[in-house]
Amino acid sequence: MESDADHSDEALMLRYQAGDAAAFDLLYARHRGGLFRFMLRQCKQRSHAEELFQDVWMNVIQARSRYRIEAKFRTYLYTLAHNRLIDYYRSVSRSDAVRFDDDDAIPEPVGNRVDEPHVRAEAKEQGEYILRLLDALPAPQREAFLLHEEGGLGIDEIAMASGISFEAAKSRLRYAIAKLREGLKEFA
Amino acid sequence: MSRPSDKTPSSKSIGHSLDVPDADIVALSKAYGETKDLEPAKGLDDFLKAAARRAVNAKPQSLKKTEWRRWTTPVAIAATVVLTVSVGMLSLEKKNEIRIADATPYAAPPPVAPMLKPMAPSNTDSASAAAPAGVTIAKSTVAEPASDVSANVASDKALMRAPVVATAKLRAASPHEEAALADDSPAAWLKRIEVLYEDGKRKEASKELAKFKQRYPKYPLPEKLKNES
Repeated sequence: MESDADHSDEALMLRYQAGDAAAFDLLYARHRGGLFRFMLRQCKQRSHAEELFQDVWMNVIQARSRYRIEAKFRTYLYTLAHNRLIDYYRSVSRSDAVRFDDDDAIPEPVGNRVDEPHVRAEAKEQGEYILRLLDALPAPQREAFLLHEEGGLGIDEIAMASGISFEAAKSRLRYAIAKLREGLKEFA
Repeated sequence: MSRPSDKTPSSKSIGHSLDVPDADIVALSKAYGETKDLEPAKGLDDFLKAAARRAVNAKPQSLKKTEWRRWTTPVAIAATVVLTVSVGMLSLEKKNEIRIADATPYAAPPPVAPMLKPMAPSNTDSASAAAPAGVTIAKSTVAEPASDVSANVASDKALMRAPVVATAKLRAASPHEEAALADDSPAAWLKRIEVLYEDGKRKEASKELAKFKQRYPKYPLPEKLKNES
């Protein structure tokens, strides 16, 4: 009888590394949705999100022989995703990359603030509204929130995946949650 | 498709760490959860799974390649050793052939009389003409190949072989051969001329005698030949 450890992400990745393609299918099934939405919520366009998503998984496939269990697989996966996203920001617009690196020092884009009446009017459902709130967050805070919600990462894992300190990760996540809570209260 | 990882992480622990009421965190996660219906296209799923399968299936092939590569170094070393030994053996064989080829002409040496020619005129002292034949021969055999080579300097091959020829001739100058060479001494020459006269070959004998006198003008002739001249 196989234990839970045999079905952990890390065990599956090691099985795939050893040549078990079915293990990859399981691993992929677990993380495909979360990783795809993580990309989509940040680059906004589905075609771009699919491209980034594909790149990350291809990276996992190609680097399988170098995989070592040094952290949870999901931390490894989202670290790859974070790095790919940074490259994407740099390729699309230099200002986006700067904005991403500068945390929340840069003001939010005009016309995208959640407290503006038209934003609330356009959002007919709570889900749609929270996505608008999410869009309005500074990129680092948005990423911290998505790493938590879609990746299931804790604060220390968010810090590791984003390459920042624990305190910085905690701060980003706290600000993100605070702003989203405020926005949701207004919606209600 | 099942999505075990799509479950929201423990909101309670995050809320505690962030000093945010757990209820708020749960409510936020629930609101966001409504948006978790977007997934990648089926075609992309299929593409990535196929790529993952291909990468794993390609593994045995790359292993074979690695195994083959493992043998390349020993095979290359073995080939180099075989080649080196073959070339070495060939060159040794070739050297032996050259030595045999060089030694062969000496087995049937050309007439030695001409080789002695330079010696006689330089020996003004008649006593030295009677010097031990071995010494004379040894000197002339060393000197002669050099003159032969200078005569045939057009051939590089001959030039290269010259020292070998000289050495071979020196090596082959045994007492038996010296005796054979001694037969071509002035005395032996005169003896042959005498025989020619005795055989009635006077014309040929006179010709030889004239040659002898020209070569050895001071050499004392036997009485028989004095009368003939």
